[in-house]
Amino acid sequence: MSLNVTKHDIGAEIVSILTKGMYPDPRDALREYVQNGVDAGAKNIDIKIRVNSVVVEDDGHGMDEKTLRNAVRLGISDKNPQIDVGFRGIGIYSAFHLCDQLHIYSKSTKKEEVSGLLIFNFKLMRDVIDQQREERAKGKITGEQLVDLQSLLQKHTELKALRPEEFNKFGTRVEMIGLESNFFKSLSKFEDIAEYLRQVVPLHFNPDKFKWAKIIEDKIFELSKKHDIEFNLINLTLQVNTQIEKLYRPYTDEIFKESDNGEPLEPLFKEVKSGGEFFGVAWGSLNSARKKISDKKLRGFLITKQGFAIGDRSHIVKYFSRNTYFDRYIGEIIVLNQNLLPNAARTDFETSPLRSLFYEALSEVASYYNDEANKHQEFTLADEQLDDAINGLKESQANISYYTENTEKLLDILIEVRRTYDLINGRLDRKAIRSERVKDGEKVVKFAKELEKDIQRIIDQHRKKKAKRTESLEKESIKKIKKLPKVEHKEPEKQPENLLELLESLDIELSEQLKVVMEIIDEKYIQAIASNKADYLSLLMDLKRNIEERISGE
Amino acid sequence: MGEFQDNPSKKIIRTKWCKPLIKFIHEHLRYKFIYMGLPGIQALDLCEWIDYIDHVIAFQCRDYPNPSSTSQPRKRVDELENKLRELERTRKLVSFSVYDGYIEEVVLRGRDTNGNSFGQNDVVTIYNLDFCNGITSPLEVMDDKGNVQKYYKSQAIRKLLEMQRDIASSSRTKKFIMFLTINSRFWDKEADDFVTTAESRVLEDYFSKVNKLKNPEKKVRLLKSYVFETIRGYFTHCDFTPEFLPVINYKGTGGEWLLHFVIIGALSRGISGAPRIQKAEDFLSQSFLGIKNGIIFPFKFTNSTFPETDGGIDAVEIFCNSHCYKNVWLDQGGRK
Repeated sequence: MSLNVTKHDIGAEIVSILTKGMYPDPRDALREYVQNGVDAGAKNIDIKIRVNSVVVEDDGHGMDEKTLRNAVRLGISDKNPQIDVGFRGIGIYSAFHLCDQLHIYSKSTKKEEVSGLLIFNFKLMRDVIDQQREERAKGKITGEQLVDLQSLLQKHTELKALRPEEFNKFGTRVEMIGLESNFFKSLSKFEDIAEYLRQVVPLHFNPDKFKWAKIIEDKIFELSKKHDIEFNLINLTLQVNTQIEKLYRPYTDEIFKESDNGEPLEPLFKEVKSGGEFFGVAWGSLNSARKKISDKKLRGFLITKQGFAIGDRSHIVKYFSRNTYFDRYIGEIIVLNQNLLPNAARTDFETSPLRSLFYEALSEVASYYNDEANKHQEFTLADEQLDDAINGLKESQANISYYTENTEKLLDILIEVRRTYDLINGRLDRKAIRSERVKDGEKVVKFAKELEKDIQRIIDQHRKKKAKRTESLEKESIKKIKKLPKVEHKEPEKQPENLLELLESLDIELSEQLKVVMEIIDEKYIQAIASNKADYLSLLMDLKRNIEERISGE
Repeated sequence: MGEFQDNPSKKIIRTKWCKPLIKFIHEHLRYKFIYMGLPGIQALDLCEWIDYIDHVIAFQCRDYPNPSSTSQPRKRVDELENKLRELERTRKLVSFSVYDGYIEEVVLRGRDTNGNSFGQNDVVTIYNLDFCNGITSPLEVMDDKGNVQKYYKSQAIRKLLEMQRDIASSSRTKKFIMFLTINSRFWDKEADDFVTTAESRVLEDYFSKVNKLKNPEKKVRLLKSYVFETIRGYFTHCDFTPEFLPVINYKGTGGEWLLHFVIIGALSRGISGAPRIQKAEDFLSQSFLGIKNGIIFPFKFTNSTFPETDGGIDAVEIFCNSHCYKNVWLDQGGRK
C-alpha cells in the first residue's frame, strides 16, 4: 500500500537543521555563493564585507526567471553533479542562520530576459521556527500543528522582476543583509577571511610571487583539456571595509625562503590513476632546503575538486606514511574525475568503490612524492659530500709535502683519504649521486686512490729508512758499547723546533738580549730561506751539525 | 540633537558652490574620485556629485542620545549602508565602506564604534567633513598602550592628511578638495586657546581689529582665523599647499550659524613642508559669503567696521585666479 505523503510530512525546521549541520563555519556561506558563481561560468567574483551586509557578485551567465524561481527549491537542483561544483540544491540556504535577509539579483545572458530579484526572509523564517519550538516545549502545540517547509518558504520568499535601472549587469549578485553579529565578527578581519578563501576557492596562482605559477596552471589546463574536462579558475577580489585586494592561491616563494632559506624546486606532476580510471593530476613543489615548510597550514598536499578544497591537508598525510617528506612539499591533488563526488560537508568524497580506487591511486602518488623527496635528500647530501670531498682531498694533497717527514700526520691524512674514498665509492655503488655528478664522484674516487698510493709510498719509504738507520745505529752502538767501560743511557736526540731550542740543546747559554737577537736571526734569515717546515727543520739540523763540528774542532 | 537635516542653504552650497568645483577638478584630473566624509543617511551630497565619484568611505554615527555607544541601535548606520549598497548595485558606485561613529572619534581612535579598524589605502580626492556634532573637545583617546591622550577635534584633520601623504603608490594624483563645515559653538575652547597663543604679526593686527567688533561677528572672525591658521599648518606639515576659498556663513537646521570652508590641496614638497602661497592677510580680509533666496552673495555683518575685500562668488573662478592654482596645480600638469 503506497503512503499518502503530503507537504505536512516535511517540517519547516528541516532547513535550520540541515544548514546548521552542513555549514558549521559561517565562512562556508561565502564558499557556497562563490561556487554558484563558478558554476555559472563566472570569470570574476567580488566579495564585499561590511558591517551589516556581505555581497558576493559574479559575472557569470546569470539566472533567468525560471532558474531564479527554482533556486528556492531545497534539495532539488537542476545542476549536473558531474559538471557543477554545487548540485545538492541547498547551498543557497547556507546563510540561513547568518543574516536577516538574502537578496539575489540576477540578469541572465539569455536574450530578452529581464533582471530578477529573489528575496528570502530568513529572520522571519527563523522566528517562526524558534517560536514553535518554544511553544512545543511548553506543550502549547503538537507536532500536527507545526508549520511545514512548503508553507514557510511560500510565506517568506518573494520573486520580483526588476527594471533595468535596478540591476542591469549580466551575472548574479547575492546580498546577505542584516548580519548576525557573530557572523560579522568572523568576517571582519581581512587576513582571516582571505586565508580561508585562498584555501577553498579555485583562485589563480600568483605569477608575481610564485615562480612556478604559470607552469602549474598550464599543466592543469593541458591535462583537463586532454581528458576533455572543464576546469576553471577565477579572479576573486575581496573587500573588507577599505581594504581591497585581488586574491591568489596562497603559494609563494617566500614561504620556502622562511624554511631555512629554501626555494621551491620545479614542481613534479603525477597523474592520479588506478585500475584504468583517471582521477586527476597532482603537483608538488619540494623545499630545496630539506626542511619542513614553515607555515603549518600550507605544508603538504590538498585535495581539490573543480578548484574547491576537499577536507584539509592533514586529511591525506596517512597516505604518505609519515610527515617527514609530506611536510617538505607544497602541492595539490587536483581531482578532475567527474564521477568522484564530494560529500555534502566537502570534507571527503562520498563513499563509493570509485573513492576506494582513488585512495589506492593516491597511495601510489604519495609513494612517488616520497621517493622523489628521498632522492632529493640523498642527492643534495651527495652534492654536499662531493664538494667537501673535493676540497678535502686537495687539502690532503697539499699537506703531504708539508708533513713529508711526519709519519704520524701522514697516517692521519691517509685515514681521511680512505674515509672519503669509501663514502663516495659507496654512493656510486648505491647510485646515490645524481647523474650529472657521477663523473665528479668517479674523479673523487680516482683522486683519493692516487693520493692513498702516494701517501702509502712515502710512509713506506720512511719505514725503510728508519729500519736502515736503526740497523746501522744498532751496529754502531754495539761497537761503542764494547769500547765503553760502562753503558750510559742517553735520551734520544730531540729535534729542535727553532733556533733557540737548537742553541739550548747544545748547552749554549744566552742572555735575554741575545735570545731576542737570535729570534730575529731565526725569523729573518733562517725561516725566510726555508721553503716549508720540513726544510726549516732540516736547515736547523745542518746548523746544529756545523756548530757541533766547529765547537768540537776548537 | 539629531542629524543635521538637509536645508535650502545646504542644497545651494552642494549644487552651486561645491559641485562646479568638483566638476572642474574632475576635468583637470580626468578620473573618478574617492570620497571620504559624512554623506548623511540620505547621502544627498553623494547623489549630487555621483558622476565624479566611484569609491566612498563614509562615517555615520548611531542614534541619539549616545550616538557613539554600542548600546545604541545602529539603525542609521545600516540605513546609510543600504543606501550606498543600492548605489553600488545600480553601478553608480564601484565600492564603499561605512564606519560606525563620529569621524573625529574614528580617525583619532583608529577604530569605529563597532571595533573595525580605520584605514585608507588610496588617495582621497573629496573630503566632506562636518564637525557640527556635540562631541566635547578636546577628545580623550586611548592609545594602543592604554594611555589616554587628549586631542582637539581638528587634529583628526591632521591625521587624515598624514594618511593621505603616506599613501605610497596610487594611480591617483595627490590633489584634493576638502569641504569643512563647523559650528562655532563646539570650537570655542580650541579657538580661545589659539587666540591666546597665536604669535604672528598678521594675526596680532587681525585680532586688534576683531577685538573691537561685537558678537557674533567677532566670534565668527576669530574662528575663521583659527581654522585658517590651524588647517594651513596641518596641510603644509603634510607637504600639501592649501588654497582657502571664501567662507560661507549660513544658518543650518535648528537655527545654528555654520561656517563652510573649502580648502583645495596639492602635494608640493618644500624644504620644510609645502610652500604657503596664499597670504593670511588676503584670506582673513576676504568677505564672507551668504545664501539668500537660492543665491550665493557677499555677506556683510550688520554695522561691521571690519575692512573687507570682495573675493567673488564663483568658486571655480576664484580658484582659477589663485596663485596656488597657477603655480602648483598647473605646474603639475592637468587641463589649463
